[in-house]
Amino acid sequence: MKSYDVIIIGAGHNGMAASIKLAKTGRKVLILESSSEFGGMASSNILLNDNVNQPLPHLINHLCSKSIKDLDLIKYGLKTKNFFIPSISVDKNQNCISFSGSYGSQIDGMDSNEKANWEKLKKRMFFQANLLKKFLYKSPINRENNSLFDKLDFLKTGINLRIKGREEFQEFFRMMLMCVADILEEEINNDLLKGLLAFDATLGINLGPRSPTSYMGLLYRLAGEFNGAQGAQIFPEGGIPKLIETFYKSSTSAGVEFIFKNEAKNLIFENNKVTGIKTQNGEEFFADIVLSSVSPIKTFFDFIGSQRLDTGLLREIKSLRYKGNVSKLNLLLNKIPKSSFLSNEQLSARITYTPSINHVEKNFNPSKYQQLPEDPNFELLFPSIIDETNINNNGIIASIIIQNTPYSLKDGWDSSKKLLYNKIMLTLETIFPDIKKSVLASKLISPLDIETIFNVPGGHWHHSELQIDRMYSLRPVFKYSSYRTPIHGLYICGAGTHPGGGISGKSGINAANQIIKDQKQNNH
Amino acid sequence: MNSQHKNYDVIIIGAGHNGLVNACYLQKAGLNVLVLEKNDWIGGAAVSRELTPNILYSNCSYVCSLFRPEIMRDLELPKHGLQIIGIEGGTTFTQDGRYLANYRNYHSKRREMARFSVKDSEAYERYSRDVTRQCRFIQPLLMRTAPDPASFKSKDIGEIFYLIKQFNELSPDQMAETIRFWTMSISDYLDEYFENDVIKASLALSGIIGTALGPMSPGTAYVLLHHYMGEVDGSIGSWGYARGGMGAITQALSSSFKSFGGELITESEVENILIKNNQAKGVALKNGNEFYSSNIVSNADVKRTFLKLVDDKFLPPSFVKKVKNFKIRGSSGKVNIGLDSMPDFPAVPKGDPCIKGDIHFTDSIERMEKAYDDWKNGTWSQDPFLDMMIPTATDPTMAPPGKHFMSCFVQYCPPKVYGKDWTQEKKEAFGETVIKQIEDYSPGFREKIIHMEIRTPKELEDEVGLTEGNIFQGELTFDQLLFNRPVPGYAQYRSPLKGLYICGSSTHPGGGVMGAPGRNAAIEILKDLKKPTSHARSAYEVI
Repeated sequence: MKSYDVIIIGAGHNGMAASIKLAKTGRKVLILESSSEFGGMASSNILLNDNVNQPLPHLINHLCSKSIKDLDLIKYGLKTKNFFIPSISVDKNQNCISFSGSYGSQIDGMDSNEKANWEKLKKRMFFQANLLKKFLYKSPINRENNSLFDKLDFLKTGINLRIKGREEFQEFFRMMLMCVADILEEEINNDLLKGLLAFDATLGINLGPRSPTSYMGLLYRLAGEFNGAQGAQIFPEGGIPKLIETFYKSSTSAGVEFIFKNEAKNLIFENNKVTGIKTQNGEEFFADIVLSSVSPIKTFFDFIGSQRLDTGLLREIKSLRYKGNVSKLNLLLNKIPKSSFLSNEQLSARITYTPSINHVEKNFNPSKYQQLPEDPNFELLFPSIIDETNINNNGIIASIIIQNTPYSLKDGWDSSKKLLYNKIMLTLETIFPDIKKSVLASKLISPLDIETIFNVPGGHWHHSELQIDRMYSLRPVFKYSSYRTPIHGLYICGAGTHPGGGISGKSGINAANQIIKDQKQNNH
Repeated sequence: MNSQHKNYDVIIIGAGHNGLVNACYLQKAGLNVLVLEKNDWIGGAAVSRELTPNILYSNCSYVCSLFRPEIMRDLELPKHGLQIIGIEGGTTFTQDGRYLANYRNYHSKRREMARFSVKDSEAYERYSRDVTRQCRFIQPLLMRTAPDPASFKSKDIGEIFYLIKQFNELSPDQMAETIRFWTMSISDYLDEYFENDVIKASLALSGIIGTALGPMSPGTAYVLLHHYMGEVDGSIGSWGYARGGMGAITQALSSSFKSFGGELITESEVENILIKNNQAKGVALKNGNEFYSSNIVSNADVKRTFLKLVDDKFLPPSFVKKVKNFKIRGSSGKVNIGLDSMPDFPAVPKGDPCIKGDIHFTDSIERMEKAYDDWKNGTWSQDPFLDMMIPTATDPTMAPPGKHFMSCFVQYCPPKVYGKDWTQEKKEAFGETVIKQIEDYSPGFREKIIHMEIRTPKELEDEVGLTEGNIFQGELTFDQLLFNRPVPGYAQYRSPLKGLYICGSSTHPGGGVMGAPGRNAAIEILKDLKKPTSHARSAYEVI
């Protein structure tokens, strides 16, 4: 009989993070993964040709030093040289501004007056993000986790805010639910800078820069830190594949067992308690604790099943907005592209096509009606130019993340892929005139493809919308925002839980801590 | 008596409904109050004007619900002629020739909904319960001055505790619900209850009236609440017609004001507020006259008050910057039409009361959102969203028998077209967009038009003084509500200058013909002047 202490569904980075924490306590942990790869949505499942793969994500913003330490990632190979990959915001007329250092501490292409205004705004944004950072990384406070200790955090934050002075205090409450466009327009004139920030605030979220609450998206990004550097944008050495590999190595070293190509199909129940999992092949595995790291939609509908859920909860889960809107275009080029206005050095940056706030907003509009944007905004990275250790002889990879490309297209994705590809190419040609000729291979992955390839309903980066009404204590729903579910012994983690998506491992760590805490309490 | 030299206790700039409410409470407390109005008629945006012979137009605001019943009683408005007639229902017409009526009677409403979706008609019970719960939470706050959370004064700390207590009375689940409600779009919120597009659209519409947001913008669930918080004759969420048009409200207020001994002068546009030693001293009119008082209350919006009427050398620069950042965005237009006879709406059975209420043409939230996209783009909506009413079908006093006044409120209409000023040509094109749409649903409509007044935000600004024609004197988004309205630190009707106050919709609790800002400001002023406030009764218990 295959019996464990904990079975984890899904070998995404959060599932692995949880497994490391649990295995280090001496628990016997099994991870069941439906595909042949570890890494979930960050796995190297996307091949450009036989030898070349480039995962969906290409940068990290949210891997904090505590998590790195908790998960022993450095011991198992995590290396980063350059903390801050610069961003360069471009338009179609060869204009650009270069944004580097700790989220724009250095900007080229703007006059000193503007720079001073930006510094002021940035200081305030960093201060606010810093206040919220504590909540980003801890388990949310809710009906079960509401000790005095937890409530004290709010009081401390309030005090930290108030002692900064009246102005800072007032601005916090004024700005919190604003749209990022209004905030930017109050202080800054430069369109390229505003476009970049508007993009950063709304990437992966179904909001435009003029949508109220979109500022929170920017704060979320700025609350991320890497090794103490706030607002960092990191390219780990070896790229994302190498980073994900350190999670895997750390798990296996801790004694975690992995079984691939064996999809979890049903939970095995005894009364209202979970006792194990039945997989696609008909095999059964037993454990008192099951942790599902897949999308809550899947967990609640497929694994728990509607007959075990009360109507109210069922309705809430049904209303989760799980349809994604981000696509990925990976290109394999036969040489480093030559730009008509960017220097070779600037090609080691994240290049964003983000001419202005209005441009980003205009491209957001069609997505509300399940249509493609006219002139899509995207961010582009050349992983092998940034990281010389990553060069392979097959060619230069261009990794492009495209915004506002909805999961359900009125015209269907089959007929729209070529259209989207051409639109991106047209824009790329204004930056790199000869790029089209040097394309050896290309792969365009829509949210629909993400759903199929990675087994994520809706193909959503965050599993379900990461907006204020579904953040923190409300994620995925208020009743179950501390990694527990209505089923005894069944837990959840992953992007669909706090703190959301992005490679941080926090959700896995928090869920593991919750499991450990609960089991300790039950034993008393 | 030469009123120029008489020193008044309070001078109020603007005879809009909030200014008049403010004036009444102050005069009733025994102060000597003077109201100065720039036009030769009073009422601000709550007016009835005879724009074509014999027909009265409520040519700005057109329907009544939010006016606080407590104020109506305190100021004895029914005694001064105010009568509000409840609307029995409204209707939404779809492009395929159907209609969805919305009756005030709960069971009729649900039966009607069931014609479109039985599931949704059942969900409506949950929906109305949940929205009413949100109303119950917010309503007590309307008639209370917002606290200043940054202050350590005992009254502010006391008010914060009051708010916390209110919030704590909710169960944790209800708290979560409330937070979600405040941060969601009306579209997403409705998706959690309903499946039918027409039903969702008909419920979403009050989430966008007067705002520069679309139904898919977060925060519009709150705007819906704002429109839901009123009542007519105890029926919460109902709307009604003031007999004689919206001007009846301000006429009653003016009559009440004068009955307490107040003085009101029209054709007196204030050009400048006189300041000396950081203290208000009086006002200087455009025509050269001056009036003196050490208490000046402005009913104009916060931008007009502090950027036009006060020299900025008297104001702290950070305050001026914040006022400049306060968002007042014109998003609505109005087309007021005098008709020869009642329009036909063949989709609806003859005699159905629903066409006497609010009439809309919409099939889906998507259609409304597209109208918003046009506005963002800088022009008026090519397929605008209309909120139309024919008050004369219910109120016989506004027009001769058989003739009618139709009010069309239009979302969306920008203050400038692609950044350039409105021209007569563009205005007419805008009017035509509206008429054309109505014609689609009401054959022969055009031939019934006797007279038409097309109002873009520009007209509203020029005539009534509302900056950019925004009917709320400022957007109703969270960054501009409660202790943020109009500016953090100055959300209690006072300004940086001693004796200078504001009482219009730019202040808490915001716009609509409510009267609460005017009343709350009066209470603060009376407190400052150490005068009694007991004649301003507090908010009724919400059941």
